[in-house]
Amino acid sequence: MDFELSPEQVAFREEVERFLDENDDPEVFDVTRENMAQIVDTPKKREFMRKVGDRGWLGITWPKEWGGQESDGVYEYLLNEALARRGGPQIGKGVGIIGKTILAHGSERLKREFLPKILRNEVEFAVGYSEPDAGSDAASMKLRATRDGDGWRLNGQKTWTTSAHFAEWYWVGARTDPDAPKHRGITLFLVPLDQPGITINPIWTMGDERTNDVFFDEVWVSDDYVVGEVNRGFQYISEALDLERFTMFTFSPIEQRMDVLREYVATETRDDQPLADDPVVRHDVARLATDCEVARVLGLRFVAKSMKGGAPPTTEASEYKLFATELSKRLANASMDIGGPGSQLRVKTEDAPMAGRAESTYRYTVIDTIGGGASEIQKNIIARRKLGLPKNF
Amino acid sequence: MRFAFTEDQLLFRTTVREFLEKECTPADVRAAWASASGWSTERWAKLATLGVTGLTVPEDHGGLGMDELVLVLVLEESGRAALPEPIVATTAVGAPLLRDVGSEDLRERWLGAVSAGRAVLGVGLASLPYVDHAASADLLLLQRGDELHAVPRDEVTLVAQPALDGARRLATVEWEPGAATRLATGERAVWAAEYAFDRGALATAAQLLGVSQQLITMAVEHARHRVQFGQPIGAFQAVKHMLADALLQLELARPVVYRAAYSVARAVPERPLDVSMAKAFASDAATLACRVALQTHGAIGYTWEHDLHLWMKRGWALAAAWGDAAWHRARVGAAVVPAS
Repeated sequence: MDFELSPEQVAFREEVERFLDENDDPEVFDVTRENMAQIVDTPKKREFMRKVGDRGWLGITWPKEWGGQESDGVYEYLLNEALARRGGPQIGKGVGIIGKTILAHGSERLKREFLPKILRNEVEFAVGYSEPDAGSDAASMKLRATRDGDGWRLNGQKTWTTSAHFAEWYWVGARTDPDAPKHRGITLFLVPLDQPGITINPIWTMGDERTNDVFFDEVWVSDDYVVGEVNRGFQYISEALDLERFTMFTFSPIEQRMDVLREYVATETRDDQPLADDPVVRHDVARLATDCEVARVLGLRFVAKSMKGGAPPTTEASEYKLFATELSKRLANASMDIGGPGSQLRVKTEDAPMAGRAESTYRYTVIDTIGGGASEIQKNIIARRKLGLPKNF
Repeated sequence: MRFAFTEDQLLFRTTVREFLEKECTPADVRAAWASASGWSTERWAKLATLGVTGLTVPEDHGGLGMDELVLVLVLEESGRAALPEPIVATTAVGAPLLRDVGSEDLRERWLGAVSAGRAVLGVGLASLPYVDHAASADLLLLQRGDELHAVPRDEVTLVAQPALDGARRLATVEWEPGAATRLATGERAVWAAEYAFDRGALATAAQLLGVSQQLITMAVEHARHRVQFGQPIGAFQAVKHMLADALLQLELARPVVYRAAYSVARAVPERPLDVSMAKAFASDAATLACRVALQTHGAIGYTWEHDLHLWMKRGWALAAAWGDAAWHRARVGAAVVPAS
């Protein structure tokens, strides 16, 4: 075991940093958008990700047959962490959730249509699992798909679809067999978001970001756009969720915010006393710094486990998501506390401590322990799959 | 970059685990606690045959010449079994200290004996108020100011300090430094003492991983079989979330301890910081595992007859030994936010 990057990995990281320096642009990179910085929601961000694709960096772990490099996941990890550290768009659901699911389960037609576009970053996806009555209990989704000729007719509602207002395609789960047990009656579809019958309504959030309700009214989808087998959708969703838990919650933004707090404590005073001499502040910062190191090496362990081409380890993904998001919140709490009364000033306000990062982070991180499987759901997963405790529902 | 152990390292761990499952059962631990010394010379001799006692001793002194990356795996197993023997003081701290600063004569005399399981070392650094297994130690490695001494036990006065762990017997040591026992002085002695302290903190952190693992395993077994309100109590989210929290803290502590082992083995400059992060986190994880395990067991876990207390007491003892969580967090604080 060692904890050093290999010369090839160091060289890759330096190549990425040079590339990011050359493509530096405040409209593409903005750490104050917190976790939402990762989505590719503007033309400039799309253009940037196309350049990432030109480098061959979107298909690092994909098979060569489909334009990938069949390389180690560690390079994808290094790239994503570098992008996240600068608040840039990241390799996300196209390459990960959708691409990898199509590679594993999709038809030849879906592979030919979508995989090349994903690698060139010519398509953006929105993911639709959540519904008003299917949150933590995602398998109880009710959006109905009924047989209609050579395809399906979709009716119902999705919610919390963050990318629906700018994406072209909707990766959506629908109930195809209402009589089967709830996990076995769901099918995954790919639906163009400009299809007649789809209505997208914005929902604005405490983090100043937009997410959406999406309504389906007699929306027709051809059999060609069924992903994998009918009624196997929830299995595919579960596999991809393990991946999502890891890729959605990168470590470097937490580290970056920790550096902001540490710098503030090292240089600022409160009541004319250096913050660095306050034992309570030192204790808090020491605990957070230790937790950051824990999250970093836990992430590396996850990378190591999933590197050999195997499926990402489920409980490790849950552990990482649970700890990293709770840590992110604790860091935000500490930044607000230590920043004092000025920490309520909005981000980018001149007088705000830590340039207002405390305020934006505090508002934003509250969603991280809810989205992508709430902390309590992660604990259920850990207790059942790793400890072997009985089901409770 | 390789964040996984090698096959050989894992195989050695398996060998030790299988040995301890046979030779260090809860009944054996109880027997050791009830004995005069608190531990078993027979089991220590068998551990020597496996190479465990001399794991850190150079090969030319009959040891395995291995580093902390293997050692932490073995120590984890020793924690899992609540091993009563003095592996931390002798193998993890004492032998490397003698190896690094001992005279040729001392190395010749003691390192071979450690490898053969014939000698036990005690370590009394200035920062440690109590010396564990001191009454059993043949040679005590003691610090006073900027001097390190190697003193035979019959040249010191021990004052027993009865403590909660029945195997990890503690004592304070009264002694006078003299020219004949001097190991190292000045910067070299301070360097060696600081390194020794970090080795001890790392070793107890690794043992705490095993202790926590065993506590959680026992609690999960209980939660799966204890029926109340018509179902196993492990089905209740109030119970399973408590256990998941305990497991999470353990799983988080593990890679940080491995990271610290790497830093100690390779003498990286951040070694004290990495060790303190590991010990602070492992101490907290073990303290939580103790509480959760007892809460899951309910009243039966409070009894002397149940084995739970053997691990809880070891957990409490080690969490406080070689710097408790607060001490190590203070050291982390000093490193990440230097005082003005």
